[in-house]
Amino acid sequence: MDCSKCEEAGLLLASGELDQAQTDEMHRHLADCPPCKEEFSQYSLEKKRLFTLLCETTSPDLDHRIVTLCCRPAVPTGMGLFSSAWIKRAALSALIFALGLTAGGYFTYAYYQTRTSGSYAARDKGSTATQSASVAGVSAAARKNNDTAQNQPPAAPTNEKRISPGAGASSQGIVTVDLKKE
Amino acid sequence: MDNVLEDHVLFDRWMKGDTNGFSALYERYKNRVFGFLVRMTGDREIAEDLLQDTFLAAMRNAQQFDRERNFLSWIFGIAHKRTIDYFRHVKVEYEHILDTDRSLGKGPDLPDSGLSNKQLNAVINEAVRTLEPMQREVFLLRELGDVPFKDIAQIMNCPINTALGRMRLALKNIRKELKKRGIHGLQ
Repeated sequence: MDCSKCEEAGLLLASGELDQAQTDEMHRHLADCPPCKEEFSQYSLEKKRLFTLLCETTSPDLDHRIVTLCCRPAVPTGMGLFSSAWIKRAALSALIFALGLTAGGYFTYAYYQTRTSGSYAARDKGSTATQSASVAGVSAAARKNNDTAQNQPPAAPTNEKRISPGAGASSQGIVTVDLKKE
Repeated sequence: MDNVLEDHVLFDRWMKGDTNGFSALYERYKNRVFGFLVRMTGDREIAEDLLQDTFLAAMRNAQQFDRERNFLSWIFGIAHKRTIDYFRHVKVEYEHILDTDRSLGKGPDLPDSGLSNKQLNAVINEAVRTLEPMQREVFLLRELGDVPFKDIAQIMNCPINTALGRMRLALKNIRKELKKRGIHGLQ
């Protein structure tokens, strides 16, 4: 092993991250190379001392606070779907959906209200013309029927119910009369 | 290895609502994590808040804990994230902290012999402060957290060789700083 790589390999050896073959190679190199061996020994000793020096003691108040906060009933592992965050999201989604539904219902209702009142107004406006047209239609049809009946021989009696065009139109409430022509 | 297994057992107890599980884990690692946070932020009060945040975040994200990993590596990973978040929040760059630390000046030069633990602690603190932020972080994760280099690389989002290089430089710089203060080796 090269001495330039020994320093980093020594760090990995100390952290237990070398495989068996690498560990053996490193030990062989340390046995043959006094400077690298000294460097590695120095680091091993420093490590222990540094650890003690770098640790910091926490205050009892802080310990109490953290233990109290972190020892609330924990969420069991694997129950992530039912965590409070999930419930909050579901509740929010349901609320948004309900609001959407209400708003949608209101606007649909308002739309039909407007449309219905508009059609009533149109029907009210057109009903006078419809009635006069119907009356005119009925009288014209009756007159025509009378003329036909007088000119033609009487038809054989039948069960079929005949509806005059004018009467039918008026009974259905749908009139397609061109007022200009009439 | 036994320690790792025991950590997992304690963690499972904590997750099942056993307060002793958490207390044991906290007692075991609080001083290491707190030491890391104090040296990263340079302020004990901020470090206290971050320590609380770290353990609370661990509680919230317990489901993300990978059983294949070491508990300590995981908790140090969270502490690292909390520290980064803190610096982002206060909009302080690592470089700025470094400058501030340097501007605080060096501690008194202490004689080599007869150093109490407290004095030596102060000297080490000063030496750690002089490190580049990335070197400091690798050094603290490794020495305090006993975090393996492959995990350090993952935590710091860098190649393992970069982490090793930073650690090597950190050790070299700390030795140099200690030598400046008249301390030759920490044996």
